Amino acid sequence: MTDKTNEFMLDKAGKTKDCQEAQDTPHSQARKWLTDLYAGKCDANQRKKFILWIKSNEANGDAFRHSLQVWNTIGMTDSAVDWLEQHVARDPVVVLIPKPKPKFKHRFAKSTMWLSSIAASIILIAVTAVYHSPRTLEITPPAIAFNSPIGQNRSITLSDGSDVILAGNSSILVDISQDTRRIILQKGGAYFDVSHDPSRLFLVTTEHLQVRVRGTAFAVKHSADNAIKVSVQRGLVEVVDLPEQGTADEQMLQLRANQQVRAAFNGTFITEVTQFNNETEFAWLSGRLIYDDIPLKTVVVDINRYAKKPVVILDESINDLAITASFTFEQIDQALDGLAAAYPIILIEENERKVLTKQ
Amino acid sequence: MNKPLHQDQLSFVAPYIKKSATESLNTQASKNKLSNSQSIDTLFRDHWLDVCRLLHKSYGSGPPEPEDVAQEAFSQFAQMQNTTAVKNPKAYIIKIAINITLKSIGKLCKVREFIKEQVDLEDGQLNEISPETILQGEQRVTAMQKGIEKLSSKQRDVLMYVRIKGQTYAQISAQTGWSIPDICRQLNEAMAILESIDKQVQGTSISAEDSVNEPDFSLRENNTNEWKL
Repeated sequence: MTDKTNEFMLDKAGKTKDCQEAQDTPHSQARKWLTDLYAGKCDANQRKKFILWIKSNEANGDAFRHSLQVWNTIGMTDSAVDWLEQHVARDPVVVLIPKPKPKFKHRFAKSTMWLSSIAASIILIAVTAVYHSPRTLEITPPAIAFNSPIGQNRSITLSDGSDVILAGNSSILVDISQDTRRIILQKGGAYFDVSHDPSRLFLVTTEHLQVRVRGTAFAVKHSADNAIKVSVQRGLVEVVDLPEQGTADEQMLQLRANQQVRAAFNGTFITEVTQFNNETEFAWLSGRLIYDDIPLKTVVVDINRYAKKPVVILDESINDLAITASFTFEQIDQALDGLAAAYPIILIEENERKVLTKQ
Repeated sequence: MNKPLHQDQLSFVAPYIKKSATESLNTQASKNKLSNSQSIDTLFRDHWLDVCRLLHKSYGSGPPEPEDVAQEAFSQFAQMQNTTAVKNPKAYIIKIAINITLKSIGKLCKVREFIKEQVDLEDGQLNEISPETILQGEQRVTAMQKGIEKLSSKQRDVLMYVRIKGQTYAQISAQTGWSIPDICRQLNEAMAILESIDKQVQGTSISAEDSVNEPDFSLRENNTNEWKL
């Protein structure tokens, strides 16, 4: 494709009212595409145009790759660290309530719940308005936070009658109204025994994954390698990969009793639907951790929800060491000693943590 | 499962049983690891709180939790082979932590995956870098450092808001009061300056062939320390 055609394509794809700088070379076009992509200014339609642009000729691809290399290198500079430290010093962040996903907010804004929540949110609105222009003002829904300490589970009965058991060091935000039941799993893991209510879906969102049910029992847990695991004990649930924008690429699958799936934080399903052993999977509900050929890194993630000292794996070569073990929360220290004796690993006791490394 | 583990009080099924856990500690390899662990432990004690505080103030309480990110960053640093060549370990660990945090932001994951799908990965120009290439690509990083210092305060702020904090134009506009067109223009001007400096350092007009011959920034396959945007 000629440069002229190339320019025409970018004119159509990249020209917006917001930013109309000269875009007459592959390099300036590449910069525009790169920055728009990372700064959240490329919707699905523009991405299609980007694909056409980058595939149209070699010069575009080369220019984009160079921009990308520079973009990468910026993150390696001490300037980045210096800026962050100075930025934090001059603009301290006040975290009021962790924000739900933009999509979540968007859906919220369309519901009648939005109107009924204005009064309750008035203080939050006043505070957030300091940081947000009217164009992007975000209404944070009134949600109740529940946390569990490191070392033990916590049982909660929600206002709709559903029971929740938080794993150690876990946190959820709960928003239950006449029209909706929304939970955000902020960290850790939780088991939900949902009371049946055909008029209100029970939605559990974490990262870009959402579980939708009307009445069932299931668990959602953050796992090793930035993964999320959904395990269904009974009933039927829908697990949805929340798209970044719009609904075009939303993917959904159904899980039945004793079925499980894993997804990345971005919502992408990373395993097929598999069966699991009910007794081992939900043993943590009764204070025990059971593993049958499970990678060590996964075991350590669970242990750190209940251990007095954090456990760190210092040698990645043992991350995937298959562990078979069973122990209670109170036996974690013994269990670590046992793992070191039974497997080719060394346990080093430090003041602030315990370290596992290769033998 | 070989036996009903859930009925055991405390049990392990090992692929083999070691002679003695204490014997292994006496090996030279173990001593080396222990020594390395001690130096890491010193770093850990000196900088752990600072790193956690910086992450918390910069990115909030998570997820990912600042403590988890910091732990992973220290762990990755400890697993590097050439830590003694790192002049400023704390800054280095913070860079790793920033990278881990950005990797966990869903919208950035999707952008990264989209770019990877569209950018040809077979010609050596990859968009992922291992932390150890910071040392190998020191000249390029140093030049970029100087380039960033030459940017105006506003250009630097906009660049870092997007690149280091992972913020969108709309978020920056809401936070600073600057218009989106202005933010867009500042960011593109900043990138133009840095790209120009990078071209001078590389001594090339950035043709396809030239860019392929940049081994310092190529991806190491199967490296868990991959740097991603």
